[in-house]
Amino acid sequence: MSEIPTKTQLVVIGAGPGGYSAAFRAAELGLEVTLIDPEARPGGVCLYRGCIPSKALLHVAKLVTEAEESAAIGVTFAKPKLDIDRIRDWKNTIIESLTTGLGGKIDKLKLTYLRGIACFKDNRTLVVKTVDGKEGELVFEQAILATGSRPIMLPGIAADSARIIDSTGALDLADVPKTLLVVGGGYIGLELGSAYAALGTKVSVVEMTSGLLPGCDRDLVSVLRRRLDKKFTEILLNTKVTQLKEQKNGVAVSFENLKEESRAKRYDKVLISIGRRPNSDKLGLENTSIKVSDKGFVEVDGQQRTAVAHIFAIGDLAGEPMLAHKAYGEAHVAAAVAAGQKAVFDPRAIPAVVFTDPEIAWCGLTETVAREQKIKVKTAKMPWRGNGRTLTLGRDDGMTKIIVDPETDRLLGIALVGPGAGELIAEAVLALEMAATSEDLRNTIHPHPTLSETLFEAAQILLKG
Amino acid sequence: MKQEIRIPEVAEGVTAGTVVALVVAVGDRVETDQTLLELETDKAVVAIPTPIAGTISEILVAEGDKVEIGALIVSLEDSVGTESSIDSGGEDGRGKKVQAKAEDQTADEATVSTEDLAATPAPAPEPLEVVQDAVAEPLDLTSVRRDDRVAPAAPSVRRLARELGVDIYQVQGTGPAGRISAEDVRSFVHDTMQRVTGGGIQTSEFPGLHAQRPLPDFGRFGEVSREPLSRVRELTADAMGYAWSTIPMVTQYDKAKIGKIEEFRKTFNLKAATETKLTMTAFMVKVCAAALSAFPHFNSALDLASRELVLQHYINIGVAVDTPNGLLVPVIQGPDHKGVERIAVELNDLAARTRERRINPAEMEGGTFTISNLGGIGGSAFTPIVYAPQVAILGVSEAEVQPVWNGAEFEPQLMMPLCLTYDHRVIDGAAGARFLRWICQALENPLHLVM
Repeated sequence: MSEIPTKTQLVVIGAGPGGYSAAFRAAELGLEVTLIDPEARPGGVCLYRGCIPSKALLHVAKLVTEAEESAAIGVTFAKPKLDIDRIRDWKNTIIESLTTGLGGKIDKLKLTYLRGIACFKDNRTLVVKTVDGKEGELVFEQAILATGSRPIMLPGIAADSARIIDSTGALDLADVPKTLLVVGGGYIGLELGSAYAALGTKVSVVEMTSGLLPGCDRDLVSVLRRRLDKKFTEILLNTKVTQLKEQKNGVAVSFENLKEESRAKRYDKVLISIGRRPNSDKLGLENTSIKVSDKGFVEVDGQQRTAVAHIFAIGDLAGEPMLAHKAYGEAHVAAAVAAGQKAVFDPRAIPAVVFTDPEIAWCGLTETVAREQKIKVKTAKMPWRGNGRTLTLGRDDGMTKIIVDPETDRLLGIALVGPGAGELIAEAVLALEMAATSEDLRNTIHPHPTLSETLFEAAQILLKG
Repeated sequence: MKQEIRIPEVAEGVTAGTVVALVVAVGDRVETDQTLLELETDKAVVAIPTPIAGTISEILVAEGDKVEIGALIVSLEDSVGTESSIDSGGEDGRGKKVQAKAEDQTADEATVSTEDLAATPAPAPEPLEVVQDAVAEPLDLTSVRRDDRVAPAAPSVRRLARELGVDIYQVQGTGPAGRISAEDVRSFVHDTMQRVTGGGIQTSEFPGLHAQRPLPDFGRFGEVSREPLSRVRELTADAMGYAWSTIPMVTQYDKAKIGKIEEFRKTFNLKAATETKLTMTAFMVKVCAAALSAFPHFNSALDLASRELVLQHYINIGVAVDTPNGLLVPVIQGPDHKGVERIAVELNDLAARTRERRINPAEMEGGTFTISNLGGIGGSAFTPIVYAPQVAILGVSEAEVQPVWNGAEFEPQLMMPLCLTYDHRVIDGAAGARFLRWICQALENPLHLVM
């Protein structure tokens, strides 16, 4: 590992998707870059404890589910045998492969990589502590903060608890519990809950608000809900967890619903997925003039500059939505601005994808927001059950929704639910960035027979009425 | 309260000028509309008045400075609210101004903060002249814009706008649903440049400069000194160079018997009560106006790009005035609707103000035809140069008594030589000859004008 240098042109703190993209881009633009992260190789939560391992587990879930459901179309498999150790190894191989690739890029671009943590001494100086015990001061010309976020744990829960875990613990895949309670009906809880359900765990979900995936349009959620009701043992809405008690052979959980009816139940494990908080608290930001919001996000302008103009913040640290692809976009802007270019982070749409089965994906304006803000819209909804490709996949669930400005026909938002929705949303994001109209979508030839035709068909509905 | 006075827009297309005289000093008390300084712009010296009354606290320019429209020239304390000025009320005003701009993004917004104006005892008649320069505002890259607050343009178009320094939120999209294309951004830049430069001279369009070959080393032949070209000389060189190198010109000569009209003029002036006397130039303006009505092609401009002749349905006649600073051409507006006496009054006033360089640049715009009268100096003929985009110019030389054969004998006649130069692309030789003959006949028998 490199020695701690005394000065650098650009320091990037955190080597998740935001940090490594920013560091690589800045190096490509000719800056001398120092990248600091406690892990041996870049990757961050996304690769080590988030997006990638969860998708690996969801792939396993998909194989199991499809094998099961194929009986209905005349293909019967024996009940699958799950070798948890091999599944875990496979997942870790993926992580290994991706992070090694990123590590190679560090050498290729001649970045200085410091395995350790950094804390501000002032607006120009960082104190760096490496994992092998070295400590030194690093004076930087510019800095990009990309320290990401971490799961919120309920208060009073031991960090090393084996039974009450967060998403990190769930992805470690220590074992397959018989029963699992997922606290929080957001996308992380539903994705991990789905994975464990497919592996054979009896999964229950408890959500404080009146619905799963708060903020997502209800018509999309209801398509997902129909399937989740079959996969999950129980979905408790409007219900609070009042007590979690770790016992020898499980966790005793007390609930209370709106009618103040209480009940208690025991689960082998409890997954807490109630949200994430930005990692802004251990950076020594109080020694700088950087401003931090009430929720702990570092405040930035359209060029990702913090209140200290030569320090940038990107990714989860810089605000919602906490998504890797938002971090990529911000990283490229921050790196370009640091290199003296006139870049701005001004996306028209940042897509959101929930990788459940069926997947939910949307970008731009949602119907929920249009209703809240009284924005006049015209909406077209195309169910997938008439789509040939959906039926040949052995499915009939799904829906494509297009929201347009009734006066100009300009696309304001697009949402999809159905298998593969996450892949389909890319076209919609491009359409929004290009300020396309529904006519543009109608006059774009979509390949047949594919799920993408539902976008075309939804645009056709707008033509008719 | 502290007020900032900036150079107002003095004429369309004028973007800068030179401070030729400062007529106030720090500590001076000035009234609304009192002149602060004189600014030499493209073709005139313009007096810059203060829009508000007060005491001059700071002068930020010096004589000889080149300043741009919108530049800060003077700070003054207005009479009301002096007590509040201690805690830098002006600074507050500025802060508010910047904020309002960032929010509104309006191009030609008046940027005086309303608080400042309210405190002014005699509100400025044209407050927007105090500060006006939205174009120079640097592009805002810092505001956080997402979702529907992002302009309807592809990311590549937004980048293009940023690189060109264009605020894309000011660009009107011409695509479906108002989508902004790269072409829209480029047109915006083009239009803005046209507005800012008045479509005027760009270096590449300065034939006087480009046509010039390298100069020899004059020092080898003797001593030389150099003097800078005045702005007037520069513009004259450009206009004449452009006309000479692009317009195929023909000069047609003729002579008019002006004995009768001269006699009338003298008699009229003897009896006239007004101070202003009728001049031959005033008659010439009136006669030419009538001739232009009769020959509309002489009142036109050539638009080769669109393959059209632009016929102007109005007549404005420029009259060349010799001044110590060079040739200037003030314009008589609509002489076809004015009597000779009124034309004479206006001419007198325009010429006097032109010589004193107190003329407004706008008073030298819009000419459709030009008269250059060198008769007062002498000479029997010359070849005037067409003042593009006009298509003809009439030169007048010194009238003299000449023997004219009347069929039986020579008789003495007061003859005035006229020289008409025209753009041969637009006007044919026969038309040129007819036009000039028409003018001569009208001068010989002015009754033609009322037929």
